[in-house]
Amino acid sequence: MRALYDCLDALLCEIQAHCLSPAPDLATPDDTVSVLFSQLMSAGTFLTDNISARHYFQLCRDWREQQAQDCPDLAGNRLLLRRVWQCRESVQQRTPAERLKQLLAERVRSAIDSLRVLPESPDSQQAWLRRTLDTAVAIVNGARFLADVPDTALHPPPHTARGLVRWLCALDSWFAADASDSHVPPVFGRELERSVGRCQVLRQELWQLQLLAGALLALESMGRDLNADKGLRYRGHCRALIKAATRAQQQWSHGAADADRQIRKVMRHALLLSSGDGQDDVGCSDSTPLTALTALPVAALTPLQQRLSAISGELSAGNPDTAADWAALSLRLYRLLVCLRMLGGGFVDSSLGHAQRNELQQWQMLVASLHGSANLCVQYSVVQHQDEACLLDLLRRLTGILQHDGEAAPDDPDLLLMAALMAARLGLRAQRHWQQLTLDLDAVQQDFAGMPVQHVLAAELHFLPAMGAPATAVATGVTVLPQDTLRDLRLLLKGARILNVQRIESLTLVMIDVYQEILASPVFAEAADISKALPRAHRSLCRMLDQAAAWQTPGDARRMINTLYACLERWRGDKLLNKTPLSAAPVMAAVNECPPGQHNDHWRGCLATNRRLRKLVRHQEDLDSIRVLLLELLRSQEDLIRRQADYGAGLDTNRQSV
Amino acid sequence: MATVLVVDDNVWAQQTLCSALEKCGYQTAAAADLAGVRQLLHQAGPTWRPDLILVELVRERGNGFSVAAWLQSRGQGTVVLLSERDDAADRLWARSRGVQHTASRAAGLDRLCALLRGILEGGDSARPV
Repeated sequence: MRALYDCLDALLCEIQAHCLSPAPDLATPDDTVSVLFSQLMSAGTFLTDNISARHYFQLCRDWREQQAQDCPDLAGNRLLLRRVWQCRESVQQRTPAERLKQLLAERVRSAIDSLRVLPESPDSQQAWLRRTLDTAVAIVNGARFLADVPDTALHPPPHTARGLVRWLCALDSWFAADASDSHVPPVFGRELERSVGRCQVLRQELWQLQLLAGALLALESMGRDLNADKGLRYRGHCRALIKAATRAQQQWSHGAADADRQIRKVMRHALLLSSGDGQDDVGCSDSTPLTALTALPVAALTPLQQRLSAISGELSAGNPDTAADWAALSLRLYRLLVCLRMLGGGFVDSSLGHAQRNELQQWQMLVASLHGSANLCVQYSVVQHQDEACLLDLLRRLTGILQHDGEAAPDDPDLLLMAALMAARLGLRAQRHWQQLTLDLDAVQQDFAGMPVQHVLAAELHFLPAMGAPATAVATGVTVLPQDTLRDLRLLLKGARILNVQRIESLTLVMIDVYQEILASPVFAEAADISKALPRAHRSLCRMLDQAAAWQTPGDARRMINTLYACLERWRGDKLLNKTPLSAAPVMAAVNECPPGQHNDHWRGCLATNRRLRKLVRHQEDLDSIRVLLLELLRSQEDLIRRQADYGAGLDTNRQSV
Repeated sequence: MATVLVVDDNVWAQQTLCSALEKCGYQTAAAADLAGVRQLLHQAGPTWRPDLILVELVRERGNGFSVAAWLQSRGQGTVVLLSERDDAADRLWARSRGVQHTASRAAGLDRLCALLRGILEGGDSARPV
């Protein structure tokens, strides 16, 4: 039918041209026009659309009437022209088949786009599957009316999620095939457009764009059939987009004006990618390798080389195995970054040209990406073995660059790109991991809804950070304070569970117990032992929070935990015996800091810890919620037993703790 | 002439920052850690107090938050936390610990000096760098 409409439109176009030609000889009928009209009448008989057919018949009738006049006039010619335009409008409208195709394409797209927010729980996954299967069945039923639909659309859709997504993507590609000749898969194209639209508002979209561009590059490397020329421009845009997005993120965090320029670059490349129009040359400097900074003065270059040598030394000592190894490597990278930023920021006497500043910026981006990735390697839950291996390879390539002492350095054009991609990938994976845990642990209260946990804790702990200062109001037992402190402690407990910081979680659990007791019996806060122990506990907690905020492993708080439990047990025991809480007896720490000779105190401490454990196991309904606390108490018991064993063997262990 | 105390265990960065600030017209002093600061204060006497203290966040031992919070709580001077980590959580946590100002070397010496000037002139509203 489309072919018929195209034919009719071509005829009408010629007729229109004749009608519009200057001063037609109206007295003499034009044979060409007669032929055209006779062809038009013949073709018009095949029209199935009543409205279009009516327009054609009216046009042909008016022409015949004009031909029958002895003296055809201009008014008649104008009427004819108007009819020709009416007929052209009707054929240029979409056919019912095209309308149906468009409708089905929209249904397919909306089903695919519904996956932008991944269903997290099994129930929501099932609900998505049911909904999408219904849509797929409707699409199959509708596609039966199309003539040129592929076989995929005519068979029943798969009943598995993976099969269904594959089926939808295949249909989406088919529907989009004749819509544009873009070599970018339609899903990517829509995501690029969506991210570009939100780019100015949400920083996360820059990461999303980076990942999309990286995924496109990965598709290309997997042997997707692309026209060679188009592939080259498309590759260049992806790389340029990734570089500009990395730069924009870094400069954005410093409020630099240049961030806007970088974001415009990102948007330009993203728009070119999504439209499939890579006409203009990318002109990005990605083809320029990271060369040695030989133009810098030697005095400025020396600290760079020293820091790279330090990193090289760390790597040659062996692959990092533990969190401490990665932390050491991360520190070296951080110091390298500081060096680069001071070189580029005017802190060192060196007259840098424009090209050298650009090169320094590339180095800064590279090292910042590697530093971010190395920090995430400390968190084993989000980093896999192959990520660590990839990062180590990138670090070796980095240290290899400046070890040529100013001679021709090896070209390494992909180093910056791979480092930026890796940092974005790991960062997004960490975010998703924490978001998943947040959904599991915070689904009801939504204290962390949509926000990074670290940010919420940093902003929403109103009282705890200040209570780590030397003078606090805790000891005075202000009644308002326990509730506010409890609120902070409960928020911190949730955050510590999500971030898997077990030491902070266990100390927080005990402090919650203490404050609940203070809330129930305010006079407890005035007891001699707790009034001394609680401020120390707050200082310990603040110190641990500082360490966690600085991405370090928090210190051990077992002594503090045992001390607080001892205070609680003493208080509860005194309550049972109706003893006054303001006892003048000296505070006895649960774990005695006695010289090695006093081994009976170790056993007493061990016994107290054991009783504490048994009481917790007996009285706590949900043991999983205090699992980390039980582990800490078991470790402290182990410490005591080991000390006693070492004492018996003549050894002396001295352990550091918070 | 204002006095700036730089607390950083990275010797090169500490010395480079001090030289740069001296060229900008500040008097400088340096220490590697809290123990070094205490020793410096003890040696300098009770009348000497720095106007500004720049504390590096990332260090080999300890962490800059604790050092900065301790110095701020003791009223030793206005503390500015230096960090190159590009993490907004650093600024938020520093504020919750009483350290109102954070800065980065990435923005350059001129902007850092502008921030220090703003703080000295009584601008707690000075924008972070």
